[in-house]
Amino acid sequence: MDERILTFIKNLKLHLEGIPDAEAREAVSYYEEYLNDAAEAGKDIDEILLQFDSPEKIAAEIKAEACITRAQRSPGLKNFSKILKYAFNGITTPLAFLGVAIFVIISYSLVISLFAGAAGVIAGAVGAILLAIYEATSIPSQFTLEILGTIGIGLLSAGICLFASLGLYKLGRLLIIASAKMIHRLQKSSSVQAQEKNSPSYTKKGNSKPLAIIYTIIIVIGFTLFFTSGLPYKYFTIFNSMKPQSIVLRNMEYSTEKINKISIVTAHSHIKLEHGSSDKVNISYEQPDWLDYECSVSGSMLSFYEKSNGRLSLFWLIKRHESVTEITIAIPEGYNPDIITLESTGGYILIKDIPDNLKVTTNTGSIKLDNSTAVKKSYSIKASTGTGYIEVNGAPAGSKYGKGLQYYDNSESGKSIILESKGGNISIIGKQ
Amino acid sequence: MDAQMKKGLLDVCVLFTLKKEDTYGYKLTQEITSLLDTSESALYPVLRRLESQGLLETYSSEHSGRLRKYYRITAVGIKRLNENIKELNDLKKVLDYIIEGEKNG
Repeated sequence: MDERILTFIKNLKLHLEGIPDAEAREAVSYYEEYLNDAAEAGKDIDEILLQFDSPEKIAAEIKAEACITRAQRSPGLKNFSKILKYAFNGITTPLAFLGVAIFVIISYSLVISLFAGAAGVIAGAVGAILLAIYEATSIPSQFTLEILGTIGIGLLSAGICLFASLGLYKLGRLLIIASAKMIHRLQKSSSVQAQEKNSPSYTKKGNSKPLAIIYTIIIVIGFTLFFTSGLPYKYFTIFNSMKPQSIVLRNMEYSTEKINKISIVTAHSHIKLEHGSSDKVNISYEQPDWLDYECSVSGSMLSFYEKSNGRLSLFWLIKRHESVTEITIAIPEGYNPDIITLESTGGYILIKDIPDNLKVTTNTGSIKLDNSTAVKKSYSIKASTGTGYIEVNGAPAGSKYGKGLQYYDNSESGKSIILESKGGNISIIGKQ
Repeated sequence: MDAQMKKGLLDVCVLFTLKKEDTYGYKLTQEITSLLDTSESALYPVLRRLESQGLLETYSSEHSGRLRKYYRITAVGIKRLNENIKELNDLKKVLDYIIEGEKNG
């Protein structure tokens, strides 16, 4: 082949570096063929090469075209970044430059946010699955339905997250394609705009259909497992403060002789402390099917402890909401233990006519102390809340203390009552 | 002629020429550059783009011991060409009005 043709081809190849091999080969063979045909037709090669645009210019246009086509074919972040360079081709006026710059900045940040959002939501899906597996493995194996249900809610949440991430990803791709079209228009004449509208969409068909099907299957399986497990009904019952259907009533009696201290701890059942007609300490407990308890006397302390039996997952969250189940402790009139401790995370505590040494703690539940019909005994009282209010005999009381309120009245010595609630209210009736 | 206008007319010229008969790069360029004053190397990107849009297709045919690439218009290409010709007719009405007006005025 002619020396000059070879030189031209070599230069062209050099400037075409960066575009896919197949494209480069196509271009080179076109011009080789062209120059050979021209030589055959008797044309002067020198003249033709003079007529040609420089290899640089030819390569630049081929590159721009290849990039834009590739971005529309496979809308990925890498291709997109490449074509944003070409957006500025041929822009001469400062105003147009500003316009294109704004367009590039906005579209690039939008695409990045969409892709980042898609990745973030996938992380959420993974988190949901891991949490579900962790909770499911903490459930005792006899509760198979609940285990499946927990896995179900994990799958359901993960599936929804995955679907959302797919949506965000597709949106990102659409945006890339739209931007590529925009940039293409900026480079061509106005008559091409009419053609672009009818141009067949030649984007590589995204492989999202199988993914969408898989995600839908995950969602359906998760949904079925969760809703057939009975868990949604239980959660609904608890969170709507409805009385659960399956309650077992437990009754326990203890003679007051050996007992000096009483400790009652519940997860989220209500605690009621009052005087009873019996001469023994009576504990009456409504046990729902997701709670277990231990009740024993050790030394001189009677202690009752309520806890989850592992059946409900996410119990650490659930116990912050009250359960409409009650434990009632009835102590005989005239019985004065050294101290009675009542504690509940989600339940409310109601004390009626017990002006004795008390220490009462709740997390989200409220405390009500009603000593209005007690035979007047002297006691000092200290009540503190975190976010709730304090009411004494119906009127607001207490002063700012730290981040919450505190009411302190030790004008009467004698028994001491301490009431503490992190998130609930304290209401005291019958205090002089 | 304005560069932008040239760019716009290249597409329709290529499609029209190919509708008359299949041809190869060099011959096509000679025909078009005689009509529109474009550089002889300008046609390749246009052909590449039209091919990727499905408006024309290529095939190889042997010629004096080497393979020569021929371009042929597709059915979609013909449809596009007809749309373009309709637009050009609309353009022609405007052109006739001005040019005739110039002649007589």
